[in-house]
Amino acid sequence: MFPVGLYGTLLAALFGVTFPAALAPFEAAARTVVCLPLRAYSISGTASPVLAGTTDPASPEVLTDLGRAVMKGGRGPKGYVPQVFRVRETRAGPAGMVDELVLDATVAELRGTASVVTVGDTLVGYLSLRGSGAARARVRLLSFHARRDSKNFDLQVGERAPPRRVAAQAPCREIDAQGTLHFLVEPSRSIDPWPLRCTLLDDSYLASRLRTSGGLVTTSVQSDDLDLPEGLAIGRLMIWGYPRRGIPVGLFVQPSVDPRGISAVTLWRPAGKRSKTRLGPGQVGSFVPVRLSRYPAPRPTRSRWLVTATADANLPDGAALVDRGRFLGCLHAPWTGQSLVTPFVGSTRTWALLVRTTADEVVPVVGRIVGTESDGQLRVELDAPGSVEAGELFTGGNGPHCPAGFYIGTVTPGLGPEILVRVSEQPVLHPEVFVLHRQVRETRRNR
Amino acid sequence: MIAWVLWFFLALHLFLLDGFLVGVSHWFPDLSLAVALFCVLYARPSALPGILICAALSRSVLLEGGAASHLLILGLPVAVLLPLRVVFSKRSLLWQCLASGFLAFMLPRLAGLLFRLTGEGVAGMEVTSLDIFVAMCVVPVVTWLLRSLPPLSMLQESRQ
Repeated sequence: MFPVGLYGTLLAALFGVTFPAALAPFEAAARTVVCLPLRAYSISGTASPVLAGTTDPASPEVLTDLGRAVMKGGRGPKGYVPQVFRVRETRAGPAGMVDELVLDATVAELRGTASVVTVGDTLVGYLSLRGSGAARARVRLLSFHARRDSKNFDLQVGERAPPRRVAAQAPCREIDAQGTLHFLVEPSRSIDPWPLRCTLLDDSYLASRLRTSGGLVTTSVQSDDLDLPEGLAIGRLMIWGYPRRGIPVGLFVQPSVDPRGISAVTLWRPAGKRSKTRLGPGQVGSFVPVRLSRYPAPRPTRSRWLVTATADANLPDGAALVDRGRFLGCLHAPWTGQSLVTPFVGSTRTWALLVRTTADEVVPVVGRIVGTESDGQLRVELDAPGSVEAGELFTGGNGPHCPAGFYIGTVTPGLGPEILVRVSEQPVLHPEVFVLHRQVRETRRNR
Repeated sequence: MIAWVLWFFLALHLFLLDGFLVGVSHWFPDLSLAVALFCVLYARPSALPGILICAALSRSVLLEGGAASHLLILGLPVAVLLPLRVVFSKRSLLWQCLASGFLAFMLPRLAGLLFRLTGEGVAGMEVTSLDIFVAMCVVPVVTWLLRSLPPLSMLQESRQ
């Protein structure tokens, strides 16, 4: 007998994997019913105690250092001063890569701000102030691709649209020791190997002599945007093709800054129009005490937690679970005041992280846990291997409800692209979930 | 109906037991393999979707990833092996061991493939030859135990 039901179910599962949002409500409801025994067990006394009072668990020093690192070496238009703004969340474009940042500031707050957006000495994109005054300001990265909804906005008279192309230059010393190749940098297609590509080369013969990737691409004189300074870094020049045989087929740019790891950016504001910088989680949200129960889980997770809100609070998806300044994990698909949490040590997702070295420098990295050493240290594989020194590890911006600045553990360099992380093993005494102020207000209104 | 209600709630406890046993001994194989082997060899064909959906839902409670991806991880190897029921006898110990080995080899690889494709779920674990050998020895015994007890004993194919 042909098992029609089984194959039909697998087709439905394939649909669910392709379009997770379609089945999410049914799954959440079913999971709540399945979790009823776990909830009952947590009430029966196995859960962690909930202490009264809340604290701001973010480390203010790392946020100060983060702000300093984001402004270090940056240059903007004349007459403008830098100010650091927190990145609230990142958004992926049609190609599945992050190409837009949503800032923790409204459009009305940022009127008059220069369009240039930098991180350190790197140009990352342009400020977009479209929409109503209460809407969140956004940063369109250089690799930004238009979405369907990006055409539905109120166009205001005199408003400048962010340019799609940037005049850039890169050293090309194969013929002339002073040789420089000039070109335009624009978003590449989804099939291209790097997010940015070079077009309209000023000297194709010079470009054909390029043999090695890695040259620093910087901004050149912009004929249509005098606000953008010359010499800001964009990324590394990458040659696609057969450069050693003298056939460089295409030139691309690998951005210097991984957009998934950006937790804060520098905006350039008119002198005298600076507002208060809000980098700390305590300035944009608060902490809701929860009850936490641990359960054994199969490999590779080993442990899974169930958190239950003690008060009548909405637990947001992806919110950070912290304990006295220590990051424990992120909530997953909360439903009716309870949520499952995979501990950070057992997680498989990619994290935006901050490494604070002993010299008080903050290095943003992106990586995921790939294993555990025999001595209990976590092996975190970085997406962009670089020189990471020993120091302390903190969360970067991992969504609106998991802001930068929560302490994770100590970090030491590992083999190749890996770092070794030792997390604190103190008992969890005061579990709290980070909730944005807006979410708290909505909960109060619902009551 | 009672069997379904029992399985809906007991599947989660089966995976909780799995997590507990893994904490006791590293060598204990994944109990998902026993559920998959039961589906391959003994389950009523009409009951397969229900058994797998409950198991996938319970796995999604304790592991990362949605129920749909866990359903694919458990269901695809079952769908591959199921037609072989007409070729091999379910009483053959060799066939039980070979099917267990295939499942122990395939499940982590499918999980890894789905993780690479979707970026969610469980990253594939490294499975050694020893892990597969242990699964070939232990999983048929655990499956025998599972099909001897309710609720799965009520969901298996009749013997005639």
